[in-house]
This record gives sequence, structure tokens and C-alpha cells, in this order.
Amino acid sequence: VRYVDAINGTLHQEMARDPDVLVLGLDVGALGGLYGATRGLLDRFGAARVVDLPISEAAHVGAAVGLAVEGFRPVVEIQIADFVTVAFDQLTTVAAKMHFLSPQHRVPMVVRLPYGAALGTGGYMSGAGPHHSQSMEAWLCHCAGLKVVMPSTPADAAGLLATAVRDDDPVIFMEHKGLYPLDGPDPPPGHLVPLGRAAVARAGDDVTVMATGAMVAIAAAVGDELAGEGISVEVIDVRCLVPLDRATLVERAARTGRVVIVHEAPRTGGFGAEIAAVVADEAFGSLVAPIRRVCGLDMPVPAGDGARAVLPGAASIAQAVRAALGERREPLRGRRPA
Amino acid sequence: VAEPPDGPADLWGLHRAVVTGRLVERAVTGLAAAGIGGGHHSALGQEALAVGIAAALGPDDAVQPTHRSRLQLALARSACGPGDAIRAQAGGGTKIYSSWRDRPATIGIVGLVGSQVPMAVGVAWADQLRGRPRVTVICFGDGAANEGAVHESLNLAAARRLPVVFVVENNGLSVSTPIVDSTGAVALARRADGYGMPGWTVAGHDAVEVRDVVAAAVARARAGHGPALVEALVPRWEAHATGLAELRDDAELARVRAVDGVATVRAHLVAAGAGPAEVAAVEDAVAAEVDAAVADVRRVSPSTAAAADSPGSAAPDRLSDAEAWRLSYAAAEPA
Repeated sequence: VRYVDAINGTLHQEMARDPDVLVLGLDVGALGGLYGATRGLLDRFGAARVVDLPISEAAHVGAAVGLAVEGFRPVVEIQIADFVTVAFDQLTTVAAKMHFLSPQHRVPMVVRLPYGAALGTGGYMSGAGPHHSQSMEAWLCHCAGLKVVMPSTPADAAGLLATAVRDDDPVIFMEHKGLYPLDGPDPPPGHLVPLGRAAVARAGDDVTVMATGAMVAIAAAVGDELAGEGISVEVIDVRCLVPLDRATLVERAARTGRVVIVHEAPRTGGFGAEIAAVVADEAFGSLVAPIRRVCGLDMPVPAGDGARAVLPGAASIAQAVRAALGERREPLRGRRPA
Repeated sequence: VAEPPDGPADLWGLHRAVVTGRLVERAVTGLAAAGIGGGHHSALGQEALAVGIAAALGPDDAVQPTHRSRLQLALARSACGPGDAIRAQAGGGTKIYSSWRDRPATIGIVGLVGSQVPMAVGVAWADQLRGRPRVTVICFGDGAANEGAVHESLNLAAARRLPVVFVVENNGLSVSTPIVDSTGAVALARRADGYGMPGWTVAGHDAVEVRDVVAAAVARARAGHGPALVEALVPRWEAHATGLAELRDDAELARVRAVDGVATVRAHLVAAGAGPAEVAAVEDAVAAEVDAAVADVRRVSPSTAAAADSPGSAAPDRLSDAEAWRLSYAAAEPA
């Protein structure tokens, strides 16, 4: 099933399962969303539950908080992730802090963010420039009270979205626009992926690449290519940033001793810094090479093919893997401190 | 005279409620100025607005107050009594306003003016979807009226014909900035035209006028005709909040303080034939209740400055990560 169809199928499944699930956003009704993620929902569930809204994202998110506290489970599609900035106050001030301020209240809502530069997949919004291409997960991970998931496969998109809809907290669902048209194995019926669990996307023994979103498949392809050179690359799909599966990250880092972190978002303050810190805190003694990050450059994403000069790609990932392997340092573990 | 359960509906009831609001507000403002409890955004001057709103609502209706009107609306809707309000200001841990789940329902506020409005629209939307007859009154100030979230909320409520009555508490000041520097609008009620809803301006110091206009808007909303905007002109007798400088000169303050909700409701009573002695007896009884509560808290509550200096007020222990999670999220942390 294609990634976008996995999301669409899960929305159908969850709306059929629970009459309190609502889908709100721009053009989510008759059009089925810009990408088709909400196709068929209006016809099946009606205009009371599948609602086209005026362009006013702060009101979408804020009203969803009220609906959620009143027992609904709204799923808000922000048409393009970049637009969520105009709803940041509602997410960070209102949604994220509601349960802390009023512990008797739960805020079961999902905000879907179609993000990323979508290069090379021919999908809608491919190479759409600095206002339509950002990966803004780190901004949201920094606000306690929000959960942040980033599926990289159709099966995980289905399983994580179903879990997110059923979760009792606000969940930011980062879905990469470039992955929408890509096919993958079908999820089993009723598939649920728990939050806070990383996955091994590719087995390997020499270097551990920890990647998010669209970077996971690219890193796995790099692993296939480097296998020809006798380099065995493990790829970990982080999948869920908040809550973060620290145990798996630390365990896999300790196993190979070499870690390369890959994400599409800019490097400075990116979530890769958090992963690096977790690995350094808890697996430092097992590392045989410095932790390396392959990230977007610290600049806006240019339109069109110019984005390729800014975002990580197979070449930059392969280079970082080789560099990590080039390090020949004895692990600290088992040595006496100097 | 019998009072309905939710608040005063006749003139005597309105009078007692406005006087109660005034005396409690004066007491709380004074306690805050004396350093007892935290700071306070005094609602002195706008008590009649809360009383008029409360009189227009049923016990199942919901209200989202502002930082300034929350105490007055809680009192007027009988979510708390005068003693509760005064003890709450003194830091007595008393709940002064109800939650979304209580009757009467109070939708919470947040610390940024205007940011709380969209979620209250969501509550009204939930009522519409569930087929509940509840109406939600959403209050915000003339300052918050210029926030984007408020504009988006008005537009969304009108687009979906939600059962909402928006009330602008227009006291003409955003902290210190006069409204003429905040907007080019002559009357905020006229903004309603732009959203496709009716708008009215009322004298916010006249509980009777507020009640009648809000009641009309509530009836309309309850009948499924959508939201309305009520602009209530209210005087702000005090500075924005405890400890903030008052920039208005004496002549201006005298003019503002001459607009008096207590005098206005008294005049209604006298016009209806009440005698001055009757009116005074009610006011004396309310004053005795408020004075007793104030005396109580003054006996037991040190000022916050004194409390901070007292030994034994140690900082709490730092929380664990797991405790922080439990306070921030409803769902359990993954094992």
C-alpha cells in the first residue's frame, strides 16, 4: 500500500471504529485533501465529522482542544506543515499545557503535518521552496505536553496514526510529503504501533545510522550500496521522537560503537542533537568514533532542485558512514580512566 | 423574592449581586494591595457586567471569563461565595471558579489574552455536534479583541453558526494603552458586521441592560441562529493590576469612577418604588458578610513579603523525569 493510502485507510478505520473521531482542516472534504489523505471520508461519514474549515489554523487547533476536552477525538490536517507556525500558540500554550493546568482534562487530538521537501518522488509539492518544505519537528519536541511521531513506512504510518488517534494526549503526526506516493508492505488489519518504540529498518554490524522520516529509506539504500564495499550498515528508524526510545538508541549505539544521525531538518538545534546527547550520555564508553550528524544546512530550503544542495542525500550519508568507519579508537569501556 | 438557582433575575436580586460583587472586589483589591496573596487584576467598576451576563444564562450554560472578570463571573453565577473569593485571594487554597465539568461550567483561561478563545469555540462546537442546548458566553477584553486568535474564533463561530455569545469587556485600556491607539474602530460591536453576526453595544455598568441584551443573544444562539457579539462599555476604576502605575490623572479617574454599577442598579430600584432604607438594609447585610471574611483572612494571612522571609519555606524537591511526565501527559509513559 502507498504511504498516503495507508494514512487514508487508517482515517477510514478510526472514524468507523469511533464516532467521536473528527477530521478537520482545509479542503479535507470534497477534495480529500491536497494529497488525497482524506479521500472518501466526507461521503462515508458526512459533513458533521469531516469538516472543511476557513483558513485560520490557530482556530483549527484551538477549537480542536475544546472539542477534545469535550470528548471528541479531532484529527486536524494542517495543509502544509509550514502553516502550523500560525497555530503555534494554540499548540504550545493551549493544547500542550491543558492537562498540566487541569489534570481532570484530557486532550486526545492529532495534528497531521505534511512536511519535508518531497524531492524526486514526483509527488505534489515537490521542491516547493522555503515556505512549503520545512521539517519542523524539533520546534514541537521542545514543548512538553506534545507527542511527536514520524513514520517512515506505510505500515508504520497506519500503525502509528491509529495509536495517535486513540492516545489521550495531543500528538503531532509528521508525515513526509515525499513518501506519500511510495509503496510498501501492507500493514496487518488493525495494526497498532506503540509510541516510543524505535525500529530496526536495516540490519548491520559496523555503523548504526539513526534516521527519521524520509531519510530512513535513503539511509537503507546507502547501506545496500556500501554492502558492496564490505561495509555493514545498521539503520534505526527513530519513528517516535516524543516519547523517545532511548533504550534502543543506546543499545544499538553500544553494539556497533559508531553512530551517524540523519535528518532533513537543519542541524542547529535539530532533533539529531538530542539523539547525539542521549547516545553520548549513556553509551559514551562504547563509542569508537565521534557521533556524526548529517542534516539539512542551516538555511531556508530553496525551491526546485536547489534543495538538493541543502538537504542530506545518499552521498552525504555514505561519506559520513565511511568517515565513522575511518576512526580507529579503542573503546573507553574496560580501560582505566586516564 | 425568589431567585432562580443560577443568579438574580429581578431588580432586588440584581442589586444584591452587584453590591456583593463590588464589596468583594473592593476587599480583594485591597488585600492584594496590602501584599496578602498574589497580585490581582481588579474588576472594580465592571461588576454589573458579570451580574447581567449571569442573569441571562441558565445553570447549564458555559462561560469563559477573562483574567479580570473571572472572580466576578464566579460570584455572579454562584460558583463561589464572597468568603471563598476572599480566602482564595489570601491564598487559602479555595477554589474560586468551577471547571468545564461543573455546573455552572467555566471554561478555563490561559495567560495570553485571546489565546483561550478558540478552545471555547470548540466547546460550543462540541455542544452543537452533541445536540446539547447549551450556550457558551466567551468574554475577552478590548485589548484581546485585536488578537488574531480572537478574529479567527469569531469567523469560525459564524461560519459554523455555533451557539456562542461573544462579550467584549471594553474598558478602553490595554494595560496602559488607550483604545484610540489600539484600533481605528469606532465601536467594536460594528466588527460583528464583518463576521456576519449581529453586534450590540451596551452600558456594561447597567446590569439590567446587560441582562436584556445578552439574554436576547443567548436566545438567538440557543435557537440555532448562531453567534452574536456584545460590546459592553465598562469603566476600569483601578490600574491594570496590583502594583502597576496609574497613568490617568485625577480628573480622568473621577470621570471613570462616576460610572457606577451600584448606583445604577440602586436607581432602578428606587424608580421601581423601593425605599432607601430597604436598599441600605440589603447593602449593610452584604457588607457585614464581606467584612467578616476580610477580618478572618487578615487575622491568619501574613503578607506574601513576610511569608517569603519566614524560615521553613524551603524550595520543593526537584521532580524526577517520570513525575514530570505524569504531570504533563494524560497517557502513561511507555515502559
